[in-house]
Amino acid sequence: MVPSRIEVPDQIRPGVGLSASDRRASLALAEALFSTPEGPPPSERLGWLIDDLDHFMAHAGPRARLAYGLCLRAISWIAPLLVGRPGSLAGLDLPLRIEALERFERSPVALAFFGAKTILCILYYEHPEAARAAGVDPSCLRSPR
Amino acid sequence: MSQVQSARDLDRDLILSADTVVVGSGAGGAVVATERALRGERVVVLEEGPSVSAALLGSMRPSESLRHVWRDGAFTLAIGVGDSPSINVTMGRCIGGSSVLTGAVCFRTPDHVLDHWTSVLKLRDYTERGMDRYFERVEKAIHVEEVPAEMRSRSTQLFALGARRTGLEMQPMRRNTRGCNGCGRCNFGCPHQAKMSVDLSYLPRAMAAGAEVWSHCLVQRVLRKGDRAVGVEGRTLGPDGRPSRRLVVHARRVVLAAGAWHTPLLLRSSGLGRPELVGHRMTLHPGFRVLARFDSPVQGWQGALQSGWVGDLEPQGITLLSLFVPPGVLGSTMPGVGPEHTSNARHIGHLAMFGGILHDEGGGSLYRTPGREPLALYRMAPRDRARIPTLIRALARSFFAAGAREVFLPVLGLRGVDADAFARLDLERIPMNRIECASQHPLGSAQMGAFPEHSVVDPDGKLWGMDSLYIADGSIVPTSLGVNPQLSIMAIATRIADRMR
Ligand SMILES: Cc1cc2nc3c(=O)[nH]c(=O)nc-3n(C[C@H](O)[C@H](O)[C@H](O)COP(=O)(O)OP(=O)(O)OC[C@H]3O[C@@H](n4cnc5c(N)ncnc54)[C@H](O)[C@@H]3O)c2cc1C
Ligand code: SF4
Repeated sequence: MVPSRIEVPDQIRPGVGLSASDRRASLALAEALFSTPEGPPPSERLGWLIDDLDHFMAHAGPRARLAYGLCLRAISWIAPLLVGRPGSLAGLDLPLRIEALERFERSPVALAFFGAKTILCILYYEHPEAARAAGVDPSCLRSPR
Repeated sequence: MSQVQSARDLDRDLILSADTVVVGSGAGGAVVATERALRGERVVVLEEGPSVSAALLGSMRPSESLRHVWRDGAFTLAIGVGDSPSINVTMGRCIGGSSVLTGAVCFRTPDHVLDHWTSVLKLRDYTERGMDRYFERVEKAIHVEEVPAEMRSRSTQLFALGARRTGLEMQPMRRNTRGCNGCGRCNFGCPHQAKMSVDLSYLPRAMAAGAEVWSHCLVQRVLRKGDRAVGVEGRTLGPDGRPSRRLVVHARRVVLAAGAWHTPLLLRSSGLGRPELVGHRMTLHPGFRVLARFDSPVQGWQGALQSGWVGDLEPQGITLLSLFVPPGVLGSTMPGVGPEHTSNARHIGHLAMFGGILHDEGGGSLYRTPGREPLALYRMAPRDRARIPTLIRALARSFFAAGAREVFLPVLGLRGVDADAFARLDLERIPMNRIECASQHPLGSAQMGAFPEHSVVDPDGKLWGMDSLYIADGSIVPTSLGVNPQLSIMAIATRIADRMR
């Protein structure tokens, strides 16, 4: 069971969400970020995450899209350089991608990583299975008692 | 009309007239609108954001509240200039403004701050006695009450225990709640109508007295005739969120209450106020948090979100405040990538959290951009920078004194540190671009003062040199407060409404 999405009737119609390349880059980032020693999370969960990220960006407005896009581009371009492999982040195999991102997280431009990681984590841990794996009761903070 | 009206689907221009038009429906705007409507005036309130009911708030996940109710999905940044951290500044964009998202914490303006305003800034009426009746009036309207100790989360209890062992005393928090059940959702909007935000406590009274409250109305400039403000103009926001129909409100009096982030933009786009003062000297109460991992479960999201505070460090410009964030946000603060991150995240239920804010000197500036939102820069004063390590140490030491295994500091990329590693850590040498910092309290970007050379509005909130244009929101607060500001903003707004001519 995955959480359904709320549409606010009084809210504006969504704008554009993520571009195809931002979806790919976000997926590469999320796959590395949430992988365990057993490997990356199930692909359906990652698919749900990227769809929800797309929905988030479509509703949160242009400034959010711009900020997230800048973070993502900084990570995609700089992280591979930190492991001596210029090219795209998605092109790195998983262990090397994780290493590149770890180095990025400790670099002077860590804020860009933090920006993208924050929103990915907020969404990811709202998935009931991800929440359960983190020891969180997925119903908490959800609906009124 | 006793309900909020939406301009979203209007197929005509919206042209209205009123005695008083109020721009922004947040803490400041709602108070002025209500006070003036209760005097029998025709009041129109214009709000850019949507109206979101408690039931809807309750059905949202935290991230859905972020995307629908918070401005820019909370991706708002004041970029650090020089040796300053960049600061994530959050605010609401809905009927009720940021008051919908508060932790409900209520502090009166501290006496020493009022003393500074009266003696140094010469704001002579802003004495403790002079402000008392305004605070009383607001506290009654929003039902300020003390949080009982039994509603404290385990996270806060652990901090209180450790703090006492290091010589700090936790005080109970006062909050604007009625019938709060401690579900901990406050920052995403209260689903139980227990938090007395202004959309519940003030605006219904304004509407009952005849005020019109409109959502989806973006005000772009003040209309003036010579040195009189005679209304506002802008656009309604259509179903695609873009400016749609023409919006004009003709009024005898204009009150700007768009918040400290946007009121200066309105002044600038209207050519009002002194450019060297408008949008500058903004304070933020830069905030920092420390997380601590305990052996036993904490489940810190259960209990009143904010229930205690520590004022012992105020002489050093620091206030410690209880807080908590939802599990997903906690996850994001867990350092590492891949297996390291996911293994850290498994401890989310064992984490306690406490925060602190700086009573900052201010160094924020706002600039217009081609888009809707400003460019914000923040240059932290050396004095405030030097206080960050003191704040972090106070938080971490308290947690260690309560038995924490390790702490996670607000330093980007830094792994958890145990007590020994913490003692060896040279916090003074951590570069500011690695410090994680957040603010919910932008203030003072169009300050009130006794002299036109140094301030944007006079002590009654009236723009110097203009008739019938008032500001009544966080932007006029003349210094940072060192405590959460909603009550101060509302008390000042009440005073402004009382003294309008
Ligand atoms: C997450 C969070 C938690 C907080 N917790 C606390 C707390 O526990 N205690 C406390 O004291 N304070 C708290 N605060 C701070 C407090 O909410 C604010 O200081 C206070 O609400 C500011 O009041 P204001 O009137 O200046 O602005 P706001 O309440 O932000 O209202 C401004 C309104 O104007 C609207 N607006 C802006 N521009 C325009 C325009 N051009 N046209 C039309 N409308 C416009 C905005 O959409 C907004 O709704 C918190 C804030 C946040 C974001
Ligand atoms: S803790 Fe209280 S005020 Fe906060 S959301 Fe829950 S019921 Fe509302």
